Amino acid sequence: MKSIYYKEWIKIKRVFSASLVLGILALSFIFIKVRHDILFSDAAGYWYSFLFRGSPYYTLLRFLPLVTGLGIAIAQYFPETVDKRIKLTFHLPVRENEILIRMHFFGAASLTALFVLFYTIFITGSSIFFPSDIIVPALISITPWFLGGLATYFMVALILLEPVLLYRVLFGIVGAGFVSFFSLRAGIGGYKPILITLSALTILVSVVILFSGYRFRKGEM
Amino acid sequence: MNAIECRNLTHCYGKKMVYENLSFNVEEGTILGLLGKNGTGKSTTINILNGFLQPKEGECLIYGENTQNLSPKTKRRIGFLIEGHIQYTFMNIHQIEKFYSGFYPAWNNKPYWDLMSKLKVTPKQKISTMSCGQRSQVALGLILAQDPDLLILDDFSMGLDPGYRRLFIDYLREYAKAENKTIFVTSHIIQDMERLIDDVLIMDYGRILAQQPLSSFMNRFRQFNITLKVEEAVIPQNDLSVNIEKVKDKVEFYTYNEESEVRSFLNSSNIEYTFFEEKKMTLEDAFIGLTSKY
Amino acid sequence: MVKISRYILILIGILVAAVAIPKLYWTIFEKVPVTTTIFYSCTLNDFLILGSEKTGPGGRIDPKGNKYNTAEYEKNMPLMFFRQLMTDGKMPDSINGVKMEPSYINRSNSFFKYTPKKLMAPVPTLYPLIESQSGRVALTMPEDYFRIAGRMEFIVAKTNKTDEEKSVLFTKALTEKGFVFPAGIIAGMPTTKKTKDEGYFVTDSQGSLFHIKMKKSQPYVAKIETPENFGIEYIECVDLKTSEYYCFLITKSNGVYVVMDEVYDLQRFPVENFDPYTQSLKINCDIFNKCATVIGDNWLKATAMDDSYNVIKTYEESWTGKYDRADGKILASLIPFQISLSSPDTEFVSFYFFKSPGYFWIISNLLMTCLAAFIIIRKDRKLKDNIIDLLFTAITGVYGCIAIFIFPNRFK
Repeated sequence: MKSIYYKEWIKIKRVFSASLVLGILALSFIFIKVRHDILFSDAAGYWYSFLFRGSPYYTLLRFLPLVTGLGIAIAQYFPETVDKRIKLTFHLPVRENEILIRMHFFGAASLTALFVLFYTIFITGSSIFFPSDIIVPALISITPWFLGGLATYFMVALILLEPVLLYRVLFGIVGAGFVSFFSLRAGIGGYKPILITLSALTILVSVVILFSGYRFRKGEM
Repeated sequence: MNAIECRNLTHCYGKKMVYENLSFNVEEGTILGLLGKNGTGKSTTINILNGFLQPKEGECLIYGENTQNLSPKTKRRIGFLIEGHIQYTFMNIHQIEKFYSGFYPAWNNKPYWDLMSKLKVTPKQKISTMSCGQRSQVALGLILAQDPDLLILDDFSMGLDPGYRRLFIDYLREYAKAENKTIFVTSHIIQDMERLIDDVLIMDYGRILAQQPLSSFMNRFRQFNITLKVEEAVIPQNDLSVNIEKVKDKVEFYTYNEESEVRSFLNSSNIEYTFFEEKKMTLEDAFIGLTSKY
Repeated sequence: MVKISRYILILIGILVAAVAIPKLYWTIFEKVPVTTTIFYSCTLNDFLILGSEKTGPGGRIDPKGNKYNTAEYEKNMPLMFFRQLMTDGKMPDSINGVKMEPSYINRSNSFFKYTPKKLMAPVPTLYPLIESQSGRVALTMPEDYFRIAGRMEFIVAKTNKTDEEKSVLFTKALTEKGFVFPAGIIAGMPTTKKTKDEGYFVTDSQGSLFHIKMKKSQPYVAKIETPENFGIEYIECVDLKTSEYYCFLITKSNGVYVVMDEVYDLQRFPVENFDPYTQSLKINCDIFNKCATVIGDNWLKATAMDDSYNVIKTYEESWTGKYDRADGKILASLIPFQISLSSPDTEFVSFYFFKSPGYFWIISNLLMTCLAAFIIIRKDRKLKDNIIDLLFTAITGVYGCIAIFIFPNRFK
């Protein structure tokens, strides 16, 4: 089983490292800017604009998880679709669904590891400058973006593995609609009532890759 | 004991029927070549065999298991070369060996490294930067290291130099015979097959034209070159000829029958000829003779 | 497992379709609705209605049906258009025996608007407590913010640390007045752009109402007497130049009140059964009258009051609802329901489910199910392998029909 993860790691290591660097850079920039703004204008005013004007300090994070999810999904599944190499994977002496789930698990786990790290940095950085009254709504606002990053990963994997172009387009439309649910414009903390539903949906779509895998194996073309 | 058993396969793409009720077996220890022109269903058959296509009707069994649902144990016994020697080209030769070795307990990397040592590649060179011939050696080396009981090779000769092709075939035949392996092979280049296969399976649109040992096929299938006295003469429909190619007064008459039978048929049909000769055929000649040039 | 993955995809497909298709439909076909605005004229002693289904957008009419052009309309709304009328030299010197002075008119005019979005929105838990008697002309923002959880705590923004001394001082003041922590609603005007600071109106965990201010760095806390089981749902502070009242209260029993300045008397507004979750409220005040308009889905009810909150006149109007118009009716007969991620009544993102009114959609669902069955048969597939697909279509209509073919069934 280690072999499966070995191949997946070879495929994603560059994108993974790039995302790691990109994420850390983005987060560093956010907090460097917060520190600068607090120093040069005033802290109370900075808090005020968050609390009463709804201007968040973390907008830079909005598309980071989405780009990361997209990157990891492409790095992992695009090489499998070139020349239909996924055939080689399915031919390995492991049940087809099992190997697919394991590949997918590896990708999702890598993505989650990145996101957990970003979260940790975000919370640590925020707690230097802000009280929990600001951090909690901030977390409510960024969580759907991160869930959306995972959802993007799952949907893009589904689309890439799909053998028929027409269905790729159709899956793409559904996928884009679905992923857009995670990054709608909303006030700070506006996503609170839907977070659990979105989490549940994200967990549900984690297995949809089996569908295009199945279509591939049944020779859809 | 059959390594492969396909029963009553029927498949179509939309309304286009590929074949109906196709059945064939491959006995353990034999090398079977599947020949057919483009579009006769070679790839369809290979895809069904590998479980990448569900036939509309019928089933294929490998070592008694339906190919739609092979157990890991059986898959471990099958080596699979995808058309064009497709491999994970984002790896180098060390990485790919490490990757595959984890899946096969009986992994024997000696034949792999033997082959690799003959390639002029650097250890860190990605497979994607290698030549077609080098890639074919990587793919072959991996299959040999896997040491499967059944090898399914889809169009192994594609993109190979004649030298590599010969090397590939000779290596393969010797290996198969020494270790009692079963091989199911397809190729565009038929002249190579003669050196490799024991049995031949020739497909035409929707049916099997021949399935028999290569030697008996080559002995029984005959070509007679005939020059007609009257250019306009028409050879009537008959039970003898498998295919007749006629250009002006020159006729190529393909049959499973003896010379005397052909001669007596021509006489009884009042066809006069000025020249009659049996021509020695290669497998390629025979294939074209059987399936016609068009 | 593969089958389950397909059903998950179908559900996602239905969800996306139920959001996207109605949205697309409304974007293309929605007719611009006529918005009705209503005011009370002190010269006519009657309402003036701006825009209605009878007059079309921009039409001006009174309840008797008299039409008004722009000049006539402005003339009859002198307290609203006094600047224009004065420029034109048409402003009367006195109305109803009261001398018209611009500063007086201006001071008395006020406008308040409540929408359900104000109640259903994420609220901050930190507020600035402005010094209300600094002795300076202008109000200034403090350097710290307070929260009222286990106690009243002040956090200094620059250091992100608690100001212990101030926190203890205010917590003590609150406790002495009988405040039970933590706070429920905290309502104030956290801005310096107002005439004066009146701090915050806060409910405690028991539902009692308190007024909290800071005067000369010292806490000022007053407990406001409310009737038993008053149950406050919403508080909004206003900044009236007349200092008539501090804030509006909406109770759980759908009453609207104002808290009178200085004396903390609760004055009930003659607006009955106001549902803050679905209805809007507009209140216009001038020298002579107050006019409260409650706006529901497709109706409004205006109540005009005199200076002492006595009802003078009421007026009701309704217009064709969204789903009684052609565009809405067509949609409601095509789809069984729609889902929206946002709602005009709240700031929160959620899946808002809206069932189509009427029953025509049942026919449409049946037709879609037949269409799905027809396509399945045409594709040489057995109906009995597709029962769940047909069930999806029967329940979700056009959405299901689309989803089951985007994620086609190939299982035997």
